[in-house]
Amino acid sequence: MLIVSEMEPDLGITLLKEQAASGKAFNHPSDNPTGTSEVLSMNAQIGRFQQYATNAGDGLSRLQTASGALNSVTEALRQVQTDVLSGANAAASDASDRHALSADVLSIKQTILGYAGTIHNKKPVFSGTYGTTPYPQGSTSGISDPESASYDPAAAYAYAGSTIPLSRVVAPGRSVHASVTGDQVFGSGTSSVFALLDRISQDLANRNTSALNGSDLTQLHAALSTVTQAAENAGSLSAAITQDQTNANDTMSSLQDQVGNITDANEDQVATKLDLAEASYQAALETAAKTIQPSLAQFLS
Amino acid sequence: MAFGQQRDHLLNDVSTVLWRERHLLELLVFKLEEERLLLTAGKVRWVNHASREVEIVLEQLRAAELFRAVKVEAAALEFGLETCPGLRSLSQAAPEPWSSIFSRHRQACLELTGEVRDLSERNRQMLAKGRDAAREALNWLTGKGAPPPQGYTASGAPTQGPGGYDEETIELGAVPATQTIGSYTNDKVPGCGVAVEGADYVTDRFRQSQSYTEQGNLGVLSAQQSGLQAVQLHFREPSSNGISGQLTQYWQDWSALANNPSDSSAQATVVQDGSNLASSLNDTSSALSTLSQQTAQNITLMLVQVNQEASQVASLNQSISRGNAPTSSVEELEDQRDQLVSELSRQLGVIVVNNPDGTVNVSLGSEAIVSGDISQALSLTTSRAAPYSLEWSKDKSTHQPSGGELAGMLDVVNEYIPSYQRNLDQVAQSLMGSVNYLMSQGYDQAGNQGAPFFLGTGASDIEVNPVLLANPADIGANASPLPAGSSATNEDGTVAAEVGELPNSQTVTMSVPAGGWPQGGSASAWTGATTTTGVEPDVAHNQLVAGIGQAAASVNNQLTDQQAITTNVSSALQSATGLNADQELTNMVMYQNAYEASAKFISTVGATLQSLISLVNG
Repeated sequence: MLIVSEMEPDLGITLLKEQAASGKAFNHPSDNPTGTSEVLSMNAQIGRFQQYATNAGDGLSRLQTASGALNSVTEALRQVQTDVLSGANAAASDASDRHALSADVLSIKQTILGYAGTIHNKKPVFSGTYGTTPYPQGSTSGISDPESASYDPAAAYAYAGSTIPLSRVVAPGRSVHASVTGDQVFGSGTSSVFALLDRISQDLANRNTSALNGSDLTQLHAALSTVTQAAENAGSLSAAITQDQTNANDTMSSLQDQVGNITDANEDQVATKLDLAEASYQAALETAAKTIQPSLAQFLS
Repeated sequence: MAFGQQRDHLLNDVSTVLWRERHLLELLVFKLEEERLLLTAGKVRWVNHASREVEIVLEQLRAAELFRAVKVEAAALEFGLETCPGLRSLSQAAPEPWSSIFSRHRQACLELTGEVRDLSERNRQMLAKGRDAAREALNWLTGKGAPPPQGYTASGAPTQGPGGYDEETIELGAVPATQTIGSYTNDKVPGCGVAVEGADYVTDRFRQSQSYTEQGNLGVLSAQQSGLQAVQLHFREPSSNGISGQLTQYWQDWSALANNPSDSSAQATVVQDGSNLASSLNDTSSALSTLSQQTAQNITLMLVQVNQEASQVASLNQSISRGNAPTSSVEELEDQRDQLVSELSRQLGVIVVNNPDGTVNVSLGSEAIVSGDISQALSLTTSRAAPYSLEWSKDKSTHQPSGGELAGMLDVVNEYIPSYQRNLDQVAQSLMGSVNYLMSQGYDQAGNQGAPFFLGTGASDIEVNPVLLANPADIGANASPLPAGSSATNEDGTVAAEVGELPNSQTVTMSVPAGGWPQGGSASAWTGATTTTGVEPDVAHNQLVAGIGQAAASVNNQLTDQQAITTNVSSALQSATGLNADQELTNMVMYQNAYEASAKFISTVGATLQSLISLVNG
């Protein structure tokens, strides 16, 4: 004869209980192998898209900082334009006026140099992939004072940043530029906007009307349009990145919904099933309690 | 004569009612059995129907009771008994053949009610547990109670609710055969001594060997299940703190570093999370090794038990063949022996051959564990590594069992765990190969070529390069070095971005040096590495987890089926070796018919005689 352990009855509610406790439709890979695999890969994707949204946000704020700086530079260059025009006019023949204009242009140059060194999150925005001030001013650089005998615009305004703009990955396999480089906006060395402003300042001081009316104005105009273009460029990059950020967020939340659909236990359904199980057990219990008729037991005794 | 005829009529009525009642009790047993099977199978959905059917039978039984009371009362009046007499006193008062008919009715009814009582008590316990578990879970759901216990503990065994389900284990066949078979056949009534034993013996043996086989099959699956369940628990998936979550976090760290390549905290985060990931791989790998060792140890322990059982079977065989039983009958020895063999088949999936002298030979593969009164010991092969197999004590040949818990456990140590270890190694190798490959193309803040990020050969020994742990700025995050002499920081981060993008593809380019990445190695490790393509780490890990899940789910399903089969076979065996109710019932119907016929005959004779007498008298 055998001694056989009866199988432990599942009673149909082990899984229900687990679902109720964890709020998850499955808690072990064996509960739903396919679902587990889907959830794992979707969770990985959610992580990626979360990161794309973050990357896009980082790129966006960099570009916005750059745009702000570029707009200020445009304003400053417009002021120089006004100065040049008034310096070239006969009304400004007075020497003190001319010197005032010349000094104003030099101070605007300093302002623009400041804008060129704009910092975002501790990093200069116009230096591309190099973490350095794009136009470093100091004892080791060339002399940037046009009055000085050893004035050296080539060294003083040499672009120290990288010509490669920063990129941010905003979608699977797609990275976009998240900066404009200083050389594209301000130029470098003698052909830089700073050297131009130095020349204008000199021409104003010396009342070199032909230069002021001629090459100075033309070059200033060109510089202005370069900066405006760079600002527009930054603006359109911002718009594109905003779109990318929205897309990444949308994808992320739709993935999260899908994961939720797969993993979350339907609490109402679980509760209903449990309720049903409880009622069945209760009803059957009542029947089980009265299977033996007392009269029969007495009769057989 | 009219007096006797009336009595026969009355008693016949009582007997008919009793037959009806017995039939209903039989039906009740069936319905309860049905309900129990549904409960055991966890088919809560049908419990309602089952209990309604029980209800219906009970209804009919109540009606029959009333009817019986009326008939018995009439008979009691006839025999001058007190009102509502018991069946015992009725059978004592009634003349033959009714006396023996009633005593048999009584015995049958007692057995049936005993069965009903047992079954309904068992059902009641199961139902109460089911209800309490459901109620507990519901209360928790509706915020009125504590959360119900989770289904699994760390050991992989299903946890038991308060009180557990242990008491549900019933011992089929606890009643010795001598007391059940022939409870009627010992009766003195002529014609009752039907020789059932000869035929029954064959049936028993067939069913018993079937039962042994199914026990063996059940053993394999239950051992596999507990092994796989334990493996599965070590992976902690799906959750955010498993390896998959850590991988996702690690890739995100790289992307964050790409946004800020010179930031020391971004660099440190990559190194730190890389370290965490590596130690998770180490931990999982060593957990699998530990599990393998534990299983091997359990095999050894079970073999001790198996050897003991085998020698016990051998010595029981000896006693049985000699027919000497000092304190107990040979049948009892056979019962003991059968229990041991059943245990052996659950553990080993043995083949059992019955010998004419009542002894059994138990064999495994081509060798005998027990042959007559000789047993042979088994041990685990001594080499401390997989694949393990069993070794015979006599000729030292090895054997891989295909049934029983030992086979399942050997599957776990020889097949499942090594294959998951290999897969886990693939995850680690793919991680090392792909990240290191990109590092070889990167430049650190100082402008040097990047150092390998991970070192090691597989999941067990993967680690973050100690050079990077000491100086996270040495991560080769940038696509090109700064110009010579530049004091700027490198903000490029393109290579870091590429690492962060690795999980977007199914396959990755890997750099693989022969013999793995040397521990404590530096950038010089690049020389000699070959470039190859491999499965992306997340994908490899995902496949591993899904594979474990699928294997566990499939074993779970098979186990459920096998449990049903084993239960059925055990029940069949139980009904063959235990009380053979069908057989007895058939006999009873036969006798009943005979008695009914003779009663008819007697009453016909009586009627004829009466008419004759009245004829004579007249």
